[in-house]
Amino acid sequence: MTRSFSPITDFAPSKGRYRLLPFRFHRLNRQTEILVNECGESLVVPLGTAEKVVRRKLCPVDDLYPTLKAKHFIYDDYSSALLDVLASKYRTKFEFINGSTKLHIFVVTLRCDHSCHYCQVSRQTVSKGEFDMPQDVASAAVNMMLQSPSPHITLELQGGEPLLAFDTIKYIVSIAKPGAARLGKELDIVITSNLAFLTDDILDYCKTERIKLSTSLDGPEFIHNANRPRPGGDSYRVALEGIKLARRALGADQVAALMTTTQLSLQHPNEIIDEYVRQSFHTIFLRPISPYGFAIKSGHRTGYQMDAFLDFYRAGLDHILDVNRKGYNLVEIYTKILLHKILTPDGTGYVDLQSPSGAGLNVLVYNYDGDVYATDESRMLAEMGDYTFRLGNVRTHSRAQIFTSPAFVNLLQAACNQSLAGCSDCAFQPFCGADPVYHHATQRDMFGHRARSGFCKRNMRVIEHLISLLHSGDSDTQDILWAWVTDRNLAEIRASLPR
Amino acid sequence: MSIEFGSVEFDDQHVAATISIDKKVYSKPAVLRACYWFGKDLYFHVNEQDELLQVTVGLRVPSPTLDQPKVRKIDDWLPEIYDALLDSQLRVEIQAETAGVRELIVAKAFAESGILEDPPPGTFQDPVAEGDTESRGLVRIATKSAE
Repeated sequence: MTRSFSPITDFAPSKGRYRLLPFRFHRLNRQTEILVNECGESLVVPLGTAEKVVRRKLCPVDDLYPTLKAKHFIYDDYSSALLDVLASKYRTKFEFINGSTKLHIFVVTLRCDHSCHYCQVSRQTVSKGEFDMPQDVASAAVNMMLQSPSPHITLELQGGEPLLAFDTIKYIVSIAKPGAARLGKELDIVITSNLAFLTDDILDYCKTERIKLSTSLDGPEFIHNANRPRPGGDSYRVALEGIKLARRALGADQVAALMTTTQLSLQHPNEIIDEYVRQSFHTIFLRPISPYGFAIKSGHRTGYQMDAFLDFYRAGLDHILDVNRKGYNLVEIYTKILLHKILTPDGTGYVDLQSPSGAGLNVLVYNYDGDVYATDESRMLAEMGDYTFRLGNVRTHSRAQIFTSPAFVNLLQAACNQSLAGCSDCAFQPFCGADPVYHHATQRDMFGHRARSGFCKRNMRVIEHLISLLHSGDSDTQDILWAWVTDRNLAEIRASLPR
Repeated sequence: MSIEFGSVEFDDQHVAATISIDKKVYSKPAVLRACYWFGKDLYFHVNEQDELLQVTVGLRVPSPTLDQPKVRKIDDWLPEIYDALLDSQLRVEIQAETAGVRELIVAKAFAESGILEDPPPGTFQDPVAEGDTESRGLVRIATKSAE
């Protein structure tokens, strides 16, 4: 006699007897779609899966069934919705809200020797001292910064060219450091400079005060000099000299560089990336031009459509991946930020891609005249005569008044992508953010229209591209991307994986 | 065999069309959400009539321009519009079915911050697990107060 067993289906819940948990979906191509739950956990599945799930066509014996349960898309008689677990994951994603404003940008002067086409500030000539931040404004701004509940704050000193107002920098640091120490706060200080006025004395000071430097490097000489004109036409030489001196004095990891993509840059992604490798940088941020300030005035020289930038980004990322394959560790920062959001339970501290928007909540800008803005871009709008995002002035307003100002309250209404038309049911919502300032600048509407939004287009297309890379089946690419997310080098990742 | 794909009427130049949609199949919120995403290239007028929603859709740029040298006929947009309708309807159904759970997740996530003016709906217990006394589930969530 042979013993027989009933089929597994006899012991499983019946077909369709499951309940849905909140999730969103998005068609990736003609074959696949992505399902993303409320906490940002995702699954790439065959096209039509969302419909199958919603219409209760899924069977417990389907391969996908246990995965959908484990990833919190459905639950059934044999499982709980695990709401506390989901709530905990949700809270983890929003950890960045804790502590309120962390990044405090001080515009110590509007003076600058460069006349960059895309500059977001109405720069003033080098001699015009009236555009420096006075001491009473600096003290009041430092006080406001220190009132932030965050236990770890970053003070970014920028301009104009901040080294032209070095005494102001020294004054700010001299009161900010003891103030932070008194309150038990950690304080990071960064100077954002074109490095043209760097001297040994300044470097000694930065070393003593543990101040980091951030500069601009737009690519090889012909691009950098064209994008960033200065008297003598030698901004590239000056920047490289400054980088070399700063690295020698402070250490290589204390000097970072950022690039801005102009119309000229669009044709040269590989040359720009190769320049970063040549100068021994290990990070690069392929940043589109911001639609603010002088960048708009000189639009004919710098302006381009988002499609052109996306082609540039994809070509650039391909080249960066190649560079990594050849053994040089180079991380594309925007990719890393997005992958972090897509692949890990955590949010990120990147203020330009958050919901609630980082504007005001995670970053405040103190202009040289004491005006407080929600973001650096808000200040650029003000330079063009649009004061929509001026939250107050450190001389006349308290921190509480800044955060209850009509300007801030208005901004907050459009600051959550969870409640924006188009975003509210977008699968990429947990990976993306809201940008009321960008939409006000480009559409004269803080809420913005997603179908016409460059911000939306950029993020949708970049996220789609990254998901396609993650599911390309190319293990080299996957290892490189995972190395970026986990802050390890490729060799470590490869050593840790069974092959 | 010829197939008539839904009820669509075109104007003579095929720069506009009127689609009749059965409200029992696609809800008004689903139709409006689907239309939203085409707002850059198309304009819409939605008219409600008894059992139908009549959606008139037109090209924003009906003939080639320097900025837009290639113009797609309205016919070419229809497959995307129908896909968007399907997706939007599913999204509306998912949201309707899961809105309560979503509210609970968010409320629970932020309840301990003390910033909520009102207590979150339900209890700290998992309301589904709690209500399911017959559950054979392996895991149950204890209440905060019971911890």
